[in-house]
Amino acid sequence: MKPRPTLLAATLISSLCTPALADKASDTLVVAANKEIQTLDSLYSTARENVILSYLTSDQLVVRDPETNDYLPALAASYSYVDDRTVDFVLRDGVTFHDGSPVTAEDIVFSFEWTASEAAATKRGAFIRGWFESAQALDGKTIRVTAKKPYPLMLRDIAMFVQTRKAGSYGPASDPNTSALTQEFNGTGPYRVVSFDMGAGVTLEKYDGYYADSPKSTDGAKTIVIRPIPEWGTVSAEMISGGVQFSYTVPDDTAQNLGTLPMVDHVPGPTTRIGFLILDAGGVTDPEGPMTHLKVRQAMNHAVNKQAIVDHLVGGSSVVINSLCYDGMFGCTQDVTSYEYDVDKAKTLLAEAGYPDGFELDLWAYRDKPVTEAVAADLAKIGIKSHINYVKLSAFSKARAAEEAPAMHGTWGYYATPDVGAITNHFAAGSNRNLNRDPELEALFDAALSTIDDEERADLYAQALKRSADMAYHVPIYRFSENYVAGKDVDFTPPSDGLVRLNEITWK
Amino acid sequence: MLKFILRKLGMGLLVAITVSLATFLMLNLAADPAAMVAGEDASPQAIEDIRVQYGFDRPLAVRYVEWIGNVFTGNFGESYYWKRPVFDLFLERAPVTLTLAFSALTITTVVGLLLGVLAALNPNGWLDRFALSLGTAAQAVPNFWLGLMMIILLGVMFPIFPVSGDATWKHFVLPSCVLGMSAVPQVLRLTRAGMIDVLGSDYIRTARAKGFGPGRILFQHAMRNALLPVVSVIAIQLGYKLGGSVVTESVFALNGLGRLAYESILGADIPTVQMLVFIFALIFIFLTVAGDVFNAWLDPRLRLE
Repeated sequence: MKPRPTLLAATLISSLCTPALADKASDTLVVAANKEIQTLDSLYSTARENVILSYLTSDQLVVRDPETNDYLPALAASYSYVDDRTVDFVLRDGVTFHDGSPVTAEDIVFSFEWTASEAAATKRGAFIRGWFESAQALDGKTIRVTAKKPYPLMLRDIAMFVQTRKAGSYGPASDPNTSALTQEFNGTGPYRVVSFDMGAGVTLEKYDGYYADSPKSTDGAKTIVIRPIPEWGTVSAEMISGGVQFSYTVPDDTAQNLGTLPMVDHVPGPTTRIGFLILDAGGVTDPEGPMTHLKVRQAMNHAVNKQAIVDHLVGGSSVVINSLCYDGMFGCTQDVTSYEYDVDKAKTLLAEAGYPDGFELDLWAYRDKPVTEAVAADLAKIGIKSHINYVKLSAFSKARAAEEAPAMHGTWGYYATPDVGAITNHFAAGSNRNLNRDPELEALFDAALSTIDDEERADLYAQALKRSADMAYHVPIYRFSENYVAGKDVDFTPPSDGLVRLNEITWK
Repeated sequence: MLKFILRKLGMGLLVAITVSLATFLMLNLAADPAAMVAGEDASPQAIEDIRVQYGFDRPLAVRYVEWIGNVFTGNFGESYYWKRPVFDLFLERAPVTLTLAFSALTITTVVGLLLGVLAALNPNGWLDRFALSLGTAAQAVPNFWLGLMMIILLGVMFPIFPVSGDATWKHFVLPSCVLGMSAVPQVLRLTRAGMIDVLGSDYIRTARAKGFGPGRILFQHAMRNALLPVVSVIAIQLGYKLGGSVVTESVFALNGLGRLAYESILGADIPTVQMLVFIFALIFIFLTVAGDVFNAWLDPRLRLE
């Protein structure tokens, strides 16, 4: 989208009247978030704001390096696989919680057990319960974590979902208080919480007792303030007046407009989120439905002009994808059957499938409406008349669970994990995201998620993705782009996984 | 009078309960609350776990009766999102909305009454036309646009007021003006029409014939009758404003009840939405009754009715 001249003129005039006041002098980085932070305890929120916050306030045993995808020891000084189900972690010396108390093996065991516990009702429990068998303190420094079966994403889950909590943080085991850390948080990360007010935001300060040699950067601002500002127009005004120095998930037109101003940089970057259509190939919603025919699904793949969507609707660093992953992700291959944009070919395939005049389709979506509409317009060119059911996520999920949606415009964020294993639920048996119900694919993904041999996993995923593309179970469309805006004094490099690490943002 | 008030309040409570039941049904039938609580990329297993943990698998009737029973013991429940008692959330956010509502209402009342009276004193004169034009413009301009323009003008180009937030009184100036101006046309028109009507009536002519001064005629005789319908409108406007202005609070990033309601609805946070709807309904009912009582005080004939 092109910048709008009127807004540009207004903002340029305003820029002449007021100098940008980036708060470099006070070493305070003010970040605008589009949504409120609901709780300081990120075990109880899956919102992006909490993922960003927890990276600052809570260190785990390991942390993933976004550039190499290696899991680096964090609270652990080292870790080693005992066998394909068991990992031993040795705690680092001198690691403390923000209240100054040492992190002990008992705390780590408690953190595992709390996260996995049904009674704790954390938002991450379902992940952990799927594989977690036990965590034992072998001595004061060593913790042994055992899985029920070989599970390749164990370190990912430990890095992201098993957040470190002091034993007893939630009160007595007999009567736990799951809200205990909602307002006051005692963490282990490089920043500690100074104040928190849901609507006004959270103020963080560097933790003086943070351990040396942490794999996380400590070069960021001394103070970080995350302010919820729901209106992008207001965020723009704050960026121009210097009240805010950084924001993320900025709509493309707003980011482009701001990027033309002298006091703001627009920085597009990649993300792990992808967009695609899920087609009812397995006849889940209708055993005789048109999409149970391979040629219909192939026709739909040929009909969608992915490149135009990327160029004109998504922009930034977005790219077209041929399978439900992107290059650089573990296990991903784009070397699969691809379907070039070809309306005539699509019409021919549709006619061969017995639908020369097309058919009517209920297309469900909950976000990125312009893309859904573009897809519907492309499908209309080959005679498929889409009825777009654009609803809130909750209604979308309800329709999906009730198996009422024959075609869905889906997205998947991979939990910022560049590993094909993180999209297993789109191919797993019993998942309502899996509309192809292909036993061969289910077996391949299951096998891949049951081995820690990377070579074997990569091979299984390659087989699976090739089959999925051959059978045209989905219409893969694009990898998302993330828009960031930063003040001129701010030194920011977009992360490859789209997960903003505010501790890495420095001043120029 | 007391009987009248009690009957009105009792009926109001029934209305509030009916409204809360309708809200409860709509929220639960339109969406899957378990999926909302679980989050966008949650696995089916995670959603099912949450359904059981939060009790969403129980019949709707059981859940509603439990909720309304708890309300009468003062317990509105705990937010699924904020993990805190929802009434605490209300108490935290209410001061911002109260400040905004009363300051906006003050602007509405002062500007609306002043322009309405001045316009009525010289119908079709230049002041009357100016007032009506201003009223039309204020009604036509959307709040979000006016808010952004004021931010650009007085927050960015001439940085007199803060752009957003609610830390100091200065933060409330721009949002109060925006929210206050939106209701000015209603008050202005009603005041103008009422005053023109009253100023042409016999008893005012009699008062003039008795030699009363214009001030006494205006304030003691005319306004008292002309303002009867205005009082009801102001009471309703206060109800709207106390209900939280989602748009104004969002544009100025004010941490009030409007934003709380907006975020709760988006997230299908049923306990919070339920509490807010219930309390907003009670506020409206109370204000309507208060408006009736105030009118009865202004006009003794209403007390007899």
